[in-house]
Amino acid sequence: MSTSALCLVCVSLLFGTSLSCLQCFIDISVRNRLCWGHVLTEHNVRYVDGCFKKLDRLFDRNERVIEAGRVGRGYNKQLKEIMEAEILPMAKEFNQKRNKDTLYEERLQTAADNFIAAASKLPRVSGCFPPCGFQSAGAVYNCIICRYDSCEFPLDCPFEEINVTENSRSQIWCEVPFPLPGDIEVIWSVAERVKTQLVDHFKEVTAGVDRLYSIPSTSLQHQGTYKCEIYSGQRSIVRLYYYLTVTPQVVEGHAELQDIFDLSLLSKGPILPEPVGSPPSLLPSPLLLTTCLTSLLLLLFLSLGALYWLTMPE
Amino acid sequence: MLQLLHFAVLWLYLLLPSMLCGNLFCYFSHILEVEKPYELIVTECPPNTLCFKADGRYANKSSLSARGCMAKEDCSQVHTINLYGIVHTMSYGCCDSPYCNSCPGVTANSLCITVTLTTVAVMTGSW
Repeated sequence: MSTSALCLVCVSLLFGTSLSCLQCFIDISVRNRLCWGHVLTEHNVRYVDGCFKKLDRLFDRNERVIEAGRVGRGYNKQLKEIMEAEILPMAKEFNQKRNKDTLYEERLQTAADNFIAAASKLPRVSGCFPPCGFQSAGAVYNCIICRYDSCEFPLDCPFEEINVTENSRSQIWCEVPFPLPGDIEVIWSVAERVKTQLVDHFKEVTAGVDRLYSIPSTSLQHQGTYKCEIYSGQRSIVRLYYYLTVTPQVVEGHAELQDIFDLSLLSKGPILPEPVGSPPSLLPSPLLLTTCLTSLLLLLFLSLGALYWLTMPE
Repeated sequence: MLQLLHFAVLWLYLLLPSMLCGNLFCYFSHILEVEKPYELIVTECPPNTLCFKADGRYANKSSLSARGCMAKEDCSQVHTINLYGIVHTMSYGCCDSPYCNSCPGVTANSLCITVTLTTVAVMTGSW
């Protein structure tokens, strides 16, 4: 009864098999050598399957091992070295020699604990920064699939709105919240007058390393979508979209002109509407100018009179 | 005398399998993609288990293979397994004679039969 129960447990363990750090880094021939002499003490049989089930339990389905294996990009080599340092000597020692399952259990458990302790010290990464971009530095090693995870964000970022006034300077910064590799190329493209992410609407305008796109004097023709696409080693890693809205200056000129009329003109005659597009008057009204000049002259004469009086001899 | 011979043959026939298969020897190979080279090593099954050969299928094609020992009642089951993020369907074929799981579809306890028949032939010949 106990035997069949044991077998049932063993088989159920076999069914739950998945890959992990051990299977990623240790070749099957090494695992075969390691497990060759695994003796099931209860029945005194050289039961190789049982050893693989132990590996499965202690490494492959051990959450702590998988978690310790979540290292940053480039550190999988060190992970392999740590695992090999634990397993290879044991495989050499155990090959073609019969050893009790209890010894296997003890030694493999120690190996797993040592791996966890050493691998946990390897650098991790801060993670992924949503919502877009291929973030290679954000990826961590995944011992279940034996490769690095991706952050799984789309390359296209959502639109960012930018509002500028006509004739003013526009500056668009291609900023991403995640660290970029050193070898980037930035390509700026424009889709004039439309808000779109469709590739065929864009015309390339600049290519290089400059992440700032600047328009010294923005005109109405500049309105549209500006795309900044960053490449690393010929591969696109992120696409940012900025929709530039240009407010015509004439609208602002009209508002200012109205204020001047209200404050200073105060003429009783009918105010004719200004034709659209006429340049706004920068000079104040003649009446206001006359008043100001008269006041200034009066002040000058009064000052001169006062000065003359004070300096006049007795 | 002929009766004695019959008894001996019967006795051998009944006893030999248990002598040979008391601790059943099977081939073992861990779950591996079919295209990868595998190395067969010998494993000794605990009582009440049989040799098995597993066939994993993905996209209607044979994708994985495995060998070893398993409990008789588990031989008929079919389940899925996730390997490198790919889900394969595993089914098993069991057999109860030594090393019977080297090739797919070998289920007869051919070695036991062969050994028995050889013994009988030798005994008959020497008689």
